[in-house]
Amino acid sequence: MSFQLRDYQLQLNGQALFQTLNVTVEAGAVLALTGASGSGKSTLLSDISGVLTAAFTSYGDIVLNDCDLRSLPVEKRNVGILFQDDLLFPHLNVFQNLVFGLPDQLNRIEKQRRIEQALNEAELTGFEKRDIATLSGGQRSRISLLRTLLSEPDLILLDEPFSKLDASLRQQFRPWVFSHIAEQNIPAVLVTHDSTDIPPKSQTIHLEPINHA
Amino acid sequence: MAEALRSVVNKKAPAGASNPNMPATLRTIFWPLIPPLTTAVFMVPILFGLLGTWLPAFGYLPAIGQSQFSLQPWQALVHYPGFFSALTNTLVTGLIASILSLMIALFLLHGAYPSQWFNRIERALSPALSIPHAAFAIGFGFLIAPSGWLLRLMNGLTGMFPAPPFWTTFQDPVGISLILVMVLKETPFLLFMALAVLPSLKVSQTLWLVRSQGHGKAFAWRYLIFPRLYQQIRLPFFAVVAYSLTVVDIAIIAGPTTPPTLAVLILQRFNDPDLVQRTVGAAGATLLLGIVMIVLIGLSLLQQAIQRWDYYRLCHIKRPKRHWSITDISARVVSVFIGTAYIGTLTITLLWSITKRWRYPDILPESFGLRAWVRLNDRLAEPFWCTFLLAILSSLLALILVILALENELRLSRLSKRVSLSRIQWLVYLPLLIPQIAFIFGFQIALIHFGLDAQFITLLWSHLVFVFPYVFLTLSGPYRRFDERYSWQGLTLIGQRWKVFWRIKLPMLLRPILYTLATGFAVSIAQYLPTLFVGAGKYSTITTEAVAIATGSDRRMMAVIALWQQTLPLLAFASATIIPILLFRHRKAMSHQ
Repeated sequence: MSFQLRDYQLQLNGQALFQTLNVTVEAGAVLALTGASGSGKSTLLSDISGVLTAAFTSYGDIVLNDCDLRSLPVEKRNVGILFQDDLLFPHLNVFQNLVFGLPDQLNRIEKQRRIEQALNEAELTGFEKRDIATLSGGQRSRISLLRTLLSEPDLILLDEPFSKLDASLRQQFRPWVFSHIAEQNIPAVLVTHDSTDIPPKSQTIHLEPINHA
Repeated sequence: MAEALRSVVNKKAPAGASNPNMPATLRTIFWPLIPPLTTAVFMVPILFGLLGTWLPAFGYLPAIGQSQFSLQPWQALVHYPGFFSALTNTLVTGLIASILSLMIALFLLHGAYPSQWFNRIERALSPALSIPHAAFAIGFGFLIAPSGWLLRLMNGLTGMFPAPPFWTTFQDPVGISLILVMVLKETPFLLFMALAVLPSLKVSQTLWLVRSQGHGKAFAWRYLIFPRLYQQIRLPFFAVVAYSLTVVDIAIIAGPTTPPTLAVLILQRFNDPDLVQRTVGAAGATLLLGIVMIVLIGLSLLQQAIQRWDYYRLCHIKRPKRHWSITDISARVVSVFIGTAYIGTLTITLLWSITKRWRYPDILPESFGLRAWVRLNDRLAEPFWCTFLLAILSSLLALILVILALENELRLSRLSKRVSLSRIQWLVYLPLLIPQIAFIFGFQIALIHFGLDAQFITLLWSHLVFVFPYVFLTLSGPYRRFDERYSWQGLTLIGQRWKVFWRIKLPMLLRPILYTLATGFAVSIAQYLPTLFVGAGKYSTITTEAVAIATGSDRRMMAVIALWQQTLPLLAFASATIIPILLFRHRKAMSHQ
């Protein structure tokens, strides 16, 4: 399993936003993208996910496990995403939120088993019926990641996933996220402007704005 | 087509907004059809209606053998007995009522916003708005008529009026009672529209800043907040102006009678047994449209003049530093008056509906009975179901159209097509700015021409014309504010667009959607002219019955029909409040949005 950008370029009004990218991320590894705000790093994630707005144009290949993602719509790409907001669905309870990620063909008992197991690992045993609004920020962040991981994506995108957590929570949550991603053995792309978010020994690319002047 | 071509020619162009559940060709046909379809829903009746009114206004109405263009209808209109008094009545009541409503709304904001007190006013707005104009006018008549509750109470306190005085306090020739009814109904509407935009004006911060610089609160409101607020509630205010100048149902109930307002006079011409009088009515309807347009243009010019004057004054006046607590107190007094009028109206309507015998100076009925309820039961069975079906179907249809239109807006913005929100806003307000009476007759003529008159489906369509704008205006705010990242997140998880829409977006928007449905429901219930004209006597609703009964003299029957008319929308709003509370009783985040 690997993820690749080949001769990738992102343009707005015919002008490139940053340097041309050629990068490969192996399974279990993390690619970190840093850059000033407005450098296009979140837009890059939306392109990989498949929801790039038409104002931007991108060139080059986006390849996941030898398959070109460009021809696929967002729902067929099997690319999970985690935002800075947990975006848990407020009208559903914990179980219903998590079950969203599971494949439809699993039977109910299997679904229950997997969710129970996932909650156990996250030290949230017995939280199935809890209302999202009654959870702490840390608990919500963990459930949000579980939901994405349960959908068994082939690639996970992290859009500043720690930026809204307070300092102490960040320190606990960061290693927890990366260990879970490593366990699933999939490539990950992390966008951040905080260098302490980046796990050690991971590949880092700083997006340099291109001066058109 | 353009998008389709581009993705064929340039393989590398992103396919961000594609939808695999629908074949590409179907998709490129379906979505571009939405804007013309939704526009046609209300523009077709308006355009046919205007044409069908203008042609007869100039003498062309082949259906009654008139096929010579002439100015005859206009001459007949001008020479019609009481025409000029009717015109005066219309201008006096319409202009005073709409401007007074705006003034009072702004005054209440100035004196009480933001405060605990205003929160109370805010909570009372929705129920007040849900009361149909006709029902309110009937009840208000019980309150202020010469033998009404107000004088009975005064007599009870002072003994000054042992017999009802010979004053005309209701349906007075100047139109004061009509103005009062309109002001009491329109002020809450304007407040409601203002409340939607006030958060974006950052009132508290502005007041704080201005006062910290040593200026008064009045200065801040008058020169810094009102001009921007007016700019944002201009269209709803214009709708109020157009409505006040042309309303028919409450003008029949509470307006002057001989002569009535111009709109009522026109309706009488349309209903005259002499068919040629229809062309006179058409001329009057066209004139009324012209009056509304001139008044609205005049108001726009006035606004510009005031802006220029303001600019001059801002540079030259000594800014008032004092803060008058008198405005705060009088704002509270005024809101108590309005609240009392509503509560009094409702109470007296309830009382009259169960009265058996109630002689003049008595403050309470002598004996009670349900005869009026029983008597109306049979008469209302059919109108009730007609009203209910029209209301539920028109609000549901409007909801579907509005959601399609708003989803299309999202689709276009994903494709980075420019979407002009202000143009959409103007378009949606069009049915509320063009007087109903100026095109509903013509619409009926057009329907007769195509053999489609007196059909339930066209009656439904005529209601949809007025339900659609309100549904759009109510839903577009919350719908556009929805965080689309939830849909994106849902797509990466379950990967089917319609499932994401159905299981995430709709439930999360359930509260505004139900509230929107209730609004559409209430708007349909209140319709009078569309049912009268397009229903062509074959269909009647609670509202047409209410107006018919209100012109009679049986107060008990009037009270019962008024209660029926306000119960339906009230029930709709109550369900819109209760259903989400019950459904989401275990979901804290969904209970206060």
